Amino acid sequence: MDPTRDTEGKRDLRERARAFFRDNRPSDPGFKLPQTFLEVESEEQFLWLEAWQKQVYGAGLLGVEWPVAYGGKGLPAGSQRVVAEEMGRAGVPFIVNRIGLDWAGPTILAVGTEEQKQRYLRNILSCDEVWCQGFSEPGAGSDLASLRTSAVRKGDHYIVNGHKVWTTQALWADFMILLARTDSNAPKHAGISYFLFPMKSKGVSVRPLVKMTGEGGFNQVLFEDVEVPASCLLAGEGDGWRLAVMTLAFERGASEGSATGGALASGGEVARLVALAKEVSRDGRPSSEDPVMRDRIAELAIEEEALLASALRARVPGLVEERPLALPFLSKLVATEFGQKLAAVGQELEGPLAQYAFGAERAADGGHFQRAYMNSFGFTIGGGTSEIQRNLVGERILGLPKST
Amino acid sequence: MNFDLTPDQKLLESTVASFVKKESPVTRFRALREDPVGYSKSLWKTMAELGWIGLAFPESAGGLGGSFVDVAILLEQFGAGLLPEPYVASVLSAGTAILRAGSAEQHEAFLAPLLAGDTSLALAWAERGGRYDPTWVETAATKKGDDYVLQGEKIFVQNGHAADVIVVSARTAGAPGDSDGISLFVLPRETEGLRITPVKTMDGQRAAMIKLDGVIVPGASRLGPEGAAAPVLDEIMDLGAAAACAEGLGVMRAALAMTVDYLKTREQFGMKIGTFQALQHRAVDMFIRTELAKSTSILASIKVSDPDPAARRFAVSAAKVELAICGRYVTQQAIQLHGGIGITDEHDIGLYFKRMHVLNALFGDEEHHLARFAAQPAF
Repeated sequence: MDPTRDTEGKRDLRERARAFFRDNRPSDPGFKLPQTFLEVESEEQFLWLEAWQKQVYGAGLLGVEWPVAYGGKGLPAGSQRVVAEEMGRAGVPFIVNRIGLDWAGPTILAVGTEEQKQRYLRNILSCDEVWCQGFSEPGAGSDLASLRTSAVRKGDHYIVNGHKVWTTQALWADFMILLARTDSNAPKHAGISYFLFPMKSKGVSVRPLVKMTGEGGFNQVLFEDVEVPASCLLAGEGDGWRLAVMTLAFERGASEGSATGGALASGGEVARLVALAKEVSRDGRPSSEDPVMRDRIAELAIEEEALLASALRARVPGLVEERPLALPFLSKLVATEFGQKLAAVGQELEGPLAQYAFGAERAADGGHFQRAYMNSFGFTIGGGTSEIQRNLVGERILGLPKST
Repeated sequence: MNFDLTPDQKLLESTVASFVKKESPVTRFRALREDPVGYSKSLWKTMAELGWIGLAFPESAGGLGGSFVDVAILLEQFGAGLLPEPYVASVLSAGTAILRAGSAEQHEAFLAPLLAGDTSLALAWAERGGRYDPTWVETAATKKGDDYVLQGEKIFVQNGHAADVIVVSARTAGAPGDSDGISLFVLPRETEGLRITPVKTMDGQRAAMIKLDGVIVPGASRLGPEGAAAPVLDEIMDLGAAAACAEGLGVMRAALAMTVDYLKTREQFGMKIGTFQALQHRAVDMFIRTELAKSTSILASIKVSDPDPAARRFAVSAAKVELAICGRYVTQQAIQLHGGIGITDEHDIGLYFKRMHVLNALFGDEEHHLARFAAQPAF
């Protein structure tokens, strides 16, 4: 990434971030670290990542766009991305409390009461409280609004019953942003409310799921007559769908790696691919000298350049005024599919070595691209599948009729 | 680096857009396909009066001192309306050659009438053996007393069929492919021995094949020092590629808009075909490709004026590859989604498809720029 693209304030931040990640690159923990925040599976991993987040926050590099009053730095929009780019460049581990930083936090900032902001935001940044997301259910995936988990008002409390799934980090989470139905008679979108739900409540059970990489990270969460204070409600009863759409918009923005160092489109993965091409050989010479593979990598590097330039453009109102929502809408869709394509090219570069399991002793780059390839589907499916994203862009940006 | 448009640039954008809409609807281009010139000299004059030619030249040469970003704003709108006037050939190719290599007298003689819209120019650089390499010059310029004798052949000279003045590259020393030894000469169209054969290009525009058969030109018609024109041509190739990206962006945006409009109006099975998810998703992918190409095109417009040739090449090659991939996708799918009417000459969408095809072939195709991009030290 070309630093000349920054404004002066951002240049300063970039230099500070670059120096910090250069001088504080964590040493090998001695155990396998997960690739993204979706794969944290052990207490050991979680505690290590928690300490890393505390260190990055302590250096003033997290929540940089959040107001000072809630533990942030009050810097202009786009500043956190500068940090994320430097994390990608340095190849340092990701920030673990991602749901808190990119989903829950921005939503609380947008609609929470002053009391809620004071209560939750600072602890998200410091990782003293970890968040998970309770949206999807076994019967409510792409059709999220059909969710059935219920929250019934009883005096000063709500009684929650139901079943959530794909719940990242539920094992360690202190809070969940929970969508639950508070009015079963209202039309399906209107009867939903949004809760800041305490996970340590009685009646909550968490069951881990294993992914095709062999790693954990996802969980199912069951609620059995869980009683929580009515003050857990965010905004009003029935506001849940509107807030969920808001959270998902923040999530879409986050998936391109804008906030917390997701590797996608942050400039690090193509460089890693080039390094791999120099390491593996083809016809007795490094694959980096093979014309076909060179073309393929160059194409990816160019597409990455297009994504980075688009991310910059998204922040300039004059360049998107025709369709102001278009680029944020596209960023999740395009960046996740790009990540998948890139990981697949990594497999192609490896040839027979692509069969090695992740972590095998002789795997190229430790099997990074095998794992990245499998995990990439989590990103093209999670947060609204690529197909749902295309429906949204078609209807809301291009103005096409609603599909039948 | 500032990505935003200034208020002046926004005004320019809306002025050009409404000019193109009013003065150059696609019906005009359709009619001009049968015209031997293929564009209107009076419209060219109007464009000069609006200051659009001057925009590309510094004030010292009688221009308005605009940036390439300003020029790109024009070109995008020209692309959207398929405006055929020879802006790139006259202004960015031949105009830049005279500006960079020419003397003050030559600026006065050749740029002043161009700036007034009284003439148009062409740059004859391409040769049969050279593909996209402007140093592949077999055409010879042999010194004879105070004159030069030019012998050789140039191909696909944009606006060569109509230009009043033609700038020709010829070798005063060295062999094809050598950077050293290339000189530029500026020739009035009537020069004896200049044999100009107009050709139609597949998009309905025109160019020329030019034979130089013992053409005698005075030493004073040489632009700049003898044998030193390669860096100028190298820059012109990048200007042309960046221009193709900007124009191509206009082509893509128009093709996308026409297609989305068609999806919203065409009915089959008793409903608008835009209701079908398979077609919606295709349209969304066209939109994605258009936006990505826009981003790289903006970057190329900014970096093409970078004093560091490596930075210039990086951004321009990235943008030209992206134009090829995205522009091809968008115009292909535009035809496909229009169905049967899309393959007729009657419908405009085919005109955009063909213009994109030609833009992809100009100033380095996908493979050329991909190879140049991959040749960077980082790889």
